[in-house]
Amino acid sequence: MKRRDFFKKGANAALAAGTLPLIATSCAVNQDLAYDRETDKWTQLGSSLSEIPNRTKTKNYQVAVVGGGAAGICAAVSAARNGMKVVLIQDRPVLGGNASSEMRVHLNGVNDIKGKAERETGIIEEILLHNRFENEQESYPVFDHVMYDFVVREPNITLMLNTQAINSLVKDNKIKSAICWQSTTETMFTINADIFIDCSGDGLLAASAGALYRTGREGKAEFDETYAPDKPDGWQMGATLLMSSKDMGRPIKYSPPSYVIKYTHEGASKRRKFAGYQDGIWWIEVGSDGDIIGDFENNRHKLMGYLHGVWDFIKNSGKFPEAENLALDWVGSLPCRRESRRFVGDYIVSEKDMTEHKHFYDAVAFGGWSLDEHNPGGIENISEPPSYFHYHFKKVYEFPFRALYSKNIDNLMFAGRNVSQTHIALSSSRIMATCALMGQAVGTASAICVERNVLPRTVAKSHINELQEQLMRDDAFIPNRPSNDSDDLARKASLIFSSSTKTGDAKKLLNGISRDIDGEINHWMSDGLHAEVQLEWESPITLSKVEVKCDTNVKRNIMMRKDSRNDELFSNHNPVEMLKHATLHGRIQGKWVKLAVVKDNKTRLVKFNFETSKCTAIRLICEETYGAKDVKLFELRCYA
Amino acid sequence: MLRLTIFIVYSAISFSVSFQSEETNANMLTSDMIKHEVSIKHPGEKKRINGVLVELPKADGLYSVYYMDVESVICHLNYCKVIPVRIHWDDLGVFQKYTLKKGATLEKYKDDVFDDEDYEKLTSIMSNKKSPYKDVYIDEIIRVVDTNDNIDAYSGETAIVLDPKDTVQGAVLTCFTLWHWANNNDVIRIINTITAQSASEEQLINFLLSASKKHALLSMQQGVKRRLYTPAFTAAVTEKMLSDKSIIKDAIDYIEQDSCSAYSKTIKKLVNEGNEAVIIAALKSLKKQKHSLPNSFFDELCLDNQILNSYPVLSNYLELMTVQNPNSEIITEQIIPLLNGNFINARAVYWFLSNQKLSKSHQKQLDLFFNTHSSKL
Repeated sequence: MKRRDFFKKGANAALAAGTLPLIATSCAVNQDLAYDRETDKWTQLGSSLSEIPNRTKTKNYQVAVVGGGAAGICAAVSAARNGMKVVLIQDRPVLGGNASSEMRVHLNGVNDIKGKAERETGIIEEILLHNRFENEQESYPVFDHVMYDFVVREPNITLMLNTQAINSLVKDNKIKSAICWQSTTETMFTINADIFIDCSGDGLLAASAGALYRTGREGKAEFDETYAPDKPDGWQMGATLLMSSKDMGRPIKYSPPSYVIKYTHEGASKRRKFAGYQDGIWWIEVGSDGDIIGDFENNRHKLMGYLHGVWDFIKNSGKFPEAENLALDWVGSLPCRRESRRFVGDYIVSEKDMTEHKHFYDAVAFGGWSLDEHNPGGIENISEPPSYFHYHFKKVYEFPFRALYSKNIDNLMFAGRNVSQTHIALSSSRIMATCALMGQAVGTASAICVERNVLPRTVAKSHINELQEQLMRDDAFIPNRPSNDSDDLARKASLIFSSSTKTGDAKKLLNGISRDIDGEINHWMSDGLHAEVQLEWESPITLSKVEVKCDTNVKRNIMMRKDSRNDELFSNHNPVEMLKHATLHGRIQGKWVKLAVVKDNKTRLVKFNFETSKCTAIRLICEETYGAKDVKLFELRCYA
Repeated sequence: MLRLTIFIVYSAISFSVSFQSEETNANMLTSDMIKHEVSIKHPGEKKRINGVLVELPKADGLYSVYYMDVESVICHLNYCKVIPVRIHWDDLGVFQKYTLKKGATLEKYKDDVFDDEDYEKLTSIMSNKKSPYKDVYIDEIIRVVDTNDNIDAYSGETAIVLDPKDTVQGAVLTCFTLWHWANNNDVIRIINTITAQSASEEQLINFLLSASKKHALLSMQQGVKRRLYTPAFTAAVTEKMLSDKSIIKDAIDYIEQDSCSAYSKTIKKLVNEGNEAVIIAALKSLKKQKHSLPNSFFDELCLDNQILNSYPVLSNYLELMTVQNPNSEIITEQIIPLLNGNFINARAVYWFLSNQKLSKSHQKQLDLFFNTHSSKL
């Protein structure tokens, strides 16, 4: 029965061209199937054994995440840390998606709100900090391995690289299985799971399951969007091909390859600038009015031609004398995609939700990148500005959970650029760190679904408080939604005070807001080090965990950039403000006892785990930061 | 680094140019100007720029002011109109104003000139230490100046766009150049060093007595550096600490390096007269001090019970006594009434007294407390 379901779906599904051509035309004829290998006898010359290799496997998980970019990693890690058995399926040999060494887009987020970042915290920040500690040289290939490490060290995650989810088995509006092809092992996997999360960008799994989606631009009227075109059309923002160059210290000649497309800059918009061209030019971009996925290989070829055309213009037009010593050091072959399918959820986020800062009861993420809609035509329409930058946000906007699950496939969620939103909303929310917040939200939601045996829609209706509280405990920030975790025993303390205070107040550590925002201080900062925070309870309480959120300066960007920019807004190292060494003491029967020590901390959320103890007080001794003279904390929680 | 870059020549000079500001002219005519030859890094230039920083000591002898003549715009393409601009700083290197030669005007793109509003806006931009110009690279601007683009600068996909309120439209390069002069780190460092090194003890005391926190901190740092422990200077530090809790740490750092007798006298004054933050800082200092102060000193360090009602004060007080003055009957006598007060405080006193040698009557009170509250201990 399942097999027949698969054939039926397979005949109708939109499959990636070239991945498995036999499948796409399959009818119930066994020999047409790529995994039917009766004629494939493998002879081991060493042992003289001969056998037909097993190229079909079935695996069972609680949560299946498709797509290993920032959103997918965060979805998988959050689900795993919340107790789920997770598989992360990635069609490339490396993790990171657009930020990987294959594409090298800066992992941007809320980079600049009135001159300061409002950085994303939670898992995405943990990844970026991990990179700052383990990749001081700022190497993109090393970043691939940093992300690999970040994922494979999670005991609950099975990572499948070089594997594409190409089809689905659907029953009763639920995905039962994802059919996945692992190219390196010639193996067809059937992945069964309770919850599926499509973070793949293009969303082949979700599309093959029949999940409703949109492509193109909505007309103004549908969502009352100021920046939408008057009438709907099919345009989707293009993909970009990046490059980087290096100064060879001597003049370097450049001759373009045979496939170059001549670029002259004649008639180009004045906004089509070359600033920072040595690290790539983002407007070398080609999109589509129609089937942008079907057009991909043609567009890739064009982009390679345009890339060399622009570089030829830089090197040989005489207009860039400073480029004389530059040589291409890396050229992308895989365009960085911005837009294709946008799946439809119970809510479609649109422009005014963002610009008017709509408050959502089910907010689980935030964004703040500008409404950065790239022009129709991309580099093939150079008289237009490459992007319109319609609107710059003055504060972050909320993103609701109802836009992160399918309207018609009950156990399917999304995170990333393929979520439920309009084209104009996508022009802001598509930024990777914003997508990563969505990823953490759906990963966490998947655990609630499995543990409570409910579907995502029920989480939105009945368990949204639980989801939000778990996200905030795990260091996500939700605007206008202070945490109020009833399990947090710190809130039951009779007294909290500090050894010294330069700014803020120790009491702020319990107010549920884990960053300074909207001009409000929500921190305690010591005056010098060592510095202590002490909590007192009237009666002894049982404790085994204390969790602290330390300062990582979310007002300054920390993602890796090709230019290694290091100033007030961007840094090229780990934040000096971070808590490095700290010790936790508890007062047990009148005596102070050392409960836990953290050395060389590398995360914003610092966890002190210890044997269950009955304490009347705790004292956190902050001993050292990574350079700051004072320590700043935003939150302190205590759990039994 | 500073030593390498500053060449201080103490000689009076005069300027041939006449500037619009009458106030500046008056200063120039009446003050003894001191010329400092300096080497400055400006982000618009690859090489360091040599210049002359002029110090104008004020008549009251307290605060000098400084100025330097710079070019209005760093322009590598020779199509910009460059005029001299005089930048003025206070004695800590904080930008005050800019002035132009009489009749000179700043120019915008396409031969347009600054109007009054533009001059005012430029002052506001240069005064804003957090201006976006701080983070803009000159190469991002150079590609823009010959366009009609109303987005001033952005790079990569980060969309750095200067809000119209943050710039004078058509004068991005001038704004960039002058902002980085007004807020130049080298200039600020040099002026601070001159102020610190040239201040007399009397001036440093005046700094302490002024309302300026920055001056007070500079003064205390100089106090430590110069081993300035005269009664007048120490008294000024103490007074400042009693009135401004934001300088407590630096003040304690200074006081801790004084002689034993002076330290103990100052610290007692702080405990007796300070607010909660000052008392806690003083108690913490005493806890770690190595002057071998006698027990009698700590016995005399009696705190009002109202002050001890503050748990942080009480907690630090008890920790101090545990370390420096254990088993003192005087201290026990003082704090045992607290067993009948606020429970959290009483419990702290209980745990402290549990480790002290007590008289029978005190022990009885302690046992009573235990019997009453054992479930909460």
